[in-house]
Amino acid sequence: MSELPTLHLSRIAKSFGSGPVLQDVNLSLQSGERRGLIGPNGAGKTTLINIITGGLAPDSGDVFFQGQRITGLSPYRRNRIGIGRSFQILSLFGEMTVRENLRNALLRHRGLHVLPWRAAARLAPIEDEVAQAAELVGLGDVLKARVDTLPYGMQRRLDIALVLAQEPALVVLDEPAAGLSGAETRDLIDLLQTRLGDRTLLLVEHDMDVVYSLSDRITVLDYGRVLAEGSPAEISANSDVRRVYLGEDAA
Amino acid sequence: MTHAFASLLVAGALDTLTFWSLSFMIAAGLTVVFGMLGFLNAAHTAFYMLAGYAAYAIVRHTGSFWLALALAPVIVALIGVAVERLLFTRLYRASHASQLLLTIGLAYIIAEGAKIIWGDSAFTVAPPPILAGRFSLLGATLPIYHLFIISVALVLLCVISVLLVGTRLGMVVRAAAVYPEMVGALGFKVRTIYTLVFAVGLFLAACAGVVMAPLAGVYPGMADDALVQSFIIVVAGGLGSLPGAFIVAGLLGVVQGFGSVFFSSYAIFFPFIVLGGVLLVRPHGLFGGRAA
Repeated sequence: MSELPTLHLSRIAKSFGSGPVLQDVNLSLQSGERRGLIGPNGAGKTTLINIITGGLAPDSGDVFFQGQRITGLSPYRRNRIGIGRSFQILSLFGEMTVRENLRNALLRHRGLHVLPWRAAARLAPIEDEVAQAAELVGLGDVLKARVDTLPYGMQRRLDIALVLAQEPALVVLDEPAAGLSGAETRDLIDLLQTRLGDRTLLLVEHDMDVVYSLSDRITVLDYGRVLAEGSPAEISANSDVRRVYLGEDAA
Repeated sequence: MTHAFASLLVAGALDTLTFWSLSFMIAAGLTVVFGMLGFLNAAHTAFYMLAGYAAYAIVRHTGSFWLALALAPVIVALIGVAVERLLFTRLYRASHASQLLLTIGLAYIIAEGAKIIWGDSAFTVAPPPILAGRFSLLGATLPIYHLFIISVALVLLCVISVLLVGTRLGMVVRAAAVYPEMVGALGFKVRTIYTLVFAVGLFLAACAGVVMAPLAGVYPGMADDALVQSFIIVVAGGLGSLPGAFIVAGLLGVVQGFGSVFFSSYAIFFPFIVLGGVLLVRPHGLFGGRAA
């Protein structure tokens, strides 16, 4: 079992009307690995995430999760087998409280949805978990606050709490640091370093501090192809990457 | 003189509330389905009409209006679920033009089907005896049945609000109205939630169809009449906005209720005046922040 990669992408290709977005993308994440996925805007990072989490179907190629082919599965099924994701655009339920948002995540995870007509307030079995999940990301004091009244940094932490609360084997984060201040970004790095545990991480991020701090390995996408793959040190030394992605003239 | 005026006011107020109740029950599902699914269902009021005919058939065979009220909305909602699963889900991501082509076609099929089964003429459905009488208030004698319609609408709205706000399912439905992708990413089957919302919308419209039957009868054109009203409500309220639909249904209720008392020969224009007036001030409708 341990030899099977948590996530394996085989020859993924995807085109939209305007042309190819991804071509022949192969990617393998070992269990517990933390992988950064970087590349210029339009490189196909979010498209790749959507193919992994089920929002988009690839034109060709296959997605394997823990050895199981999941190419045609819908997003909710992929969540149920252990893939959790956040979205580039914060997708929290703003008119609900922090507690209600976490309940939504835990409700499904704990299978309590089978009694959908039961009062939402009587969720005693998961109330402790809700509190714990909030505590874990430092939101224990604002459980009753409406989410859209919270500062952006806190909302982002709640976003991550929703993903982590479901204990996914694979965590896919799409630009979690976008829009955060310097201090909030450092909090985010701390949070992920301490709370991810042995979960496998796929992290798309523009902020290179975040990528270098969190990644064991980094994959660079450019024009829909894998340009380079290696340790953070290898990637930062790679002249192709420096030229294409970091905008430096290597000539 | 003041006495007569007071009784006119009371009569107008009762008409207003009755119209408000009925038109909101019909339009609510239309606007919610559009808001959540981006789906424009021109056959929505055909289901309302179907409920009217179903009520007529049930009353004719069993003599029980109450049985009709209990059964017809459920039957219509189930038919609606079948249609949604078989046809509508295919077009959730299609253009509004395709959606309209399909649903207008479906509306014609339902309307013609009803004519084949029940013919061209209008039917009246007698209200149950206990609701058939009149009551006096401030010098006006008013039909009890109007109060019944208003109560049905109030009860349904309360039940649905409590379910939405207080239950686990309601919590998930509210979440799916905001970010369906996120709800899917949390492991909920969003498609099932959509079907449920669709069914509840049709159930409401079907309830309106049943309670409408003793008030205005059941007739082949009732779907078209209601569709124009509902589109006015949905557009002026802001596409997809339930509070907007509620308020505009109330405005239409006022102009219908009092307009028909004081200027009855022009009453048919009033809804369009409301629509024009609202859109002049707010081009996207009362609560239509987002461009549709």
